[in-house]
Amino acid sequence: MIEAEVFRALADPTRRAVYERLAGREMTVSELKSGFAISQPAISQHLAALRGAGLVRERRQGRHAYYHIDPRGLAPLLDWIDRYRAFWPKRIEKLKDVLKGMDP
Amino acid sequence: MNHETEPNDATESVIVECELAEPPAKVWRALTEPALLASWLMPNDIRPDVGARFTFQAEADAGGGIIACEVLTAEPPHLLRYSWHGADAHRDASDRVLDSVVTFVLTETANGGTHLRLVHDGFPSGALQSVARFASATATVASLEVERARRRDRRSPVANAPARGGLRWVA
Repeated sequence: MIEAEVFRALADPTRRAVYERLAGREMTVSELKSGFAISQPAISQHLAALRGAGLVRERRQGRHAYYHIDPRGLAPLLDWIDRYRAFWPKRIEKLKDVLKGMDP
Repeated sequence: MNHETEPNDATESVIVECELAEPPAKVWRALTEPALLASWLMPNDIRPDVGARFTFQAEADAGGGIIACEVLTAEPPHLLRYSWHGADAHRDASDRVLDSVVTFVLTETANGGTHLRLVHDGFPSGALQSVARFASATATVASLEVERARRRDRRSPVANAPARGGLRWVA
């Protein structure tokens, strides 16, 4: 399920940090790496996970690959919160009815 | 409906507040007795003791499946907090990314009723928070809002109801 993939991808603090840096601007892997104390292969692995979850896209230009975030990838998170924004007010209305019907 | 939205510092929470005619002790029962709770929320086996684990059988509007909970705070009849692990998280016990927390605060009002404040927060490991914080400094936030509005437009009238509490993209 893509929703779970998105959550899982962003649950890792390093991966989230990678995502945050890319939210600032498009970068190559080596540009990205300069901000982290981890190896380039590790960065690439995080990028692969983020791409797999639809959070990051790759753009190839010549020999270079550039990475940028895709805001639409966050939609599952927004949906998840929206679900509860609809859910709770409805349930609180039901709670009011239940309270009226309870013994003193 | 007289829910009100209160500004808050959280970037990601759902808040519902309302006035109830009944006193806190009675509202507390509706929150903590399984049969009563089931009649307005969902089937459950709640036990309002700190550390007690219980589940909700989630209905479709809560995503279906099982919601696994653990009581974090229970101070009758004023404060009840429990963790809320959505259905997806439950597929794999080690998958904790969907953790969130539900808090009920009951305050007695001057006329003997209850002011109820419900907060559902702690959404996906703070991911949205950090992203929103960062994105707010960029044009990214604009496209997020567009996407969000587009998705909301497709929804039913109930889901379209004005946001009560909810996600805020300001840092």
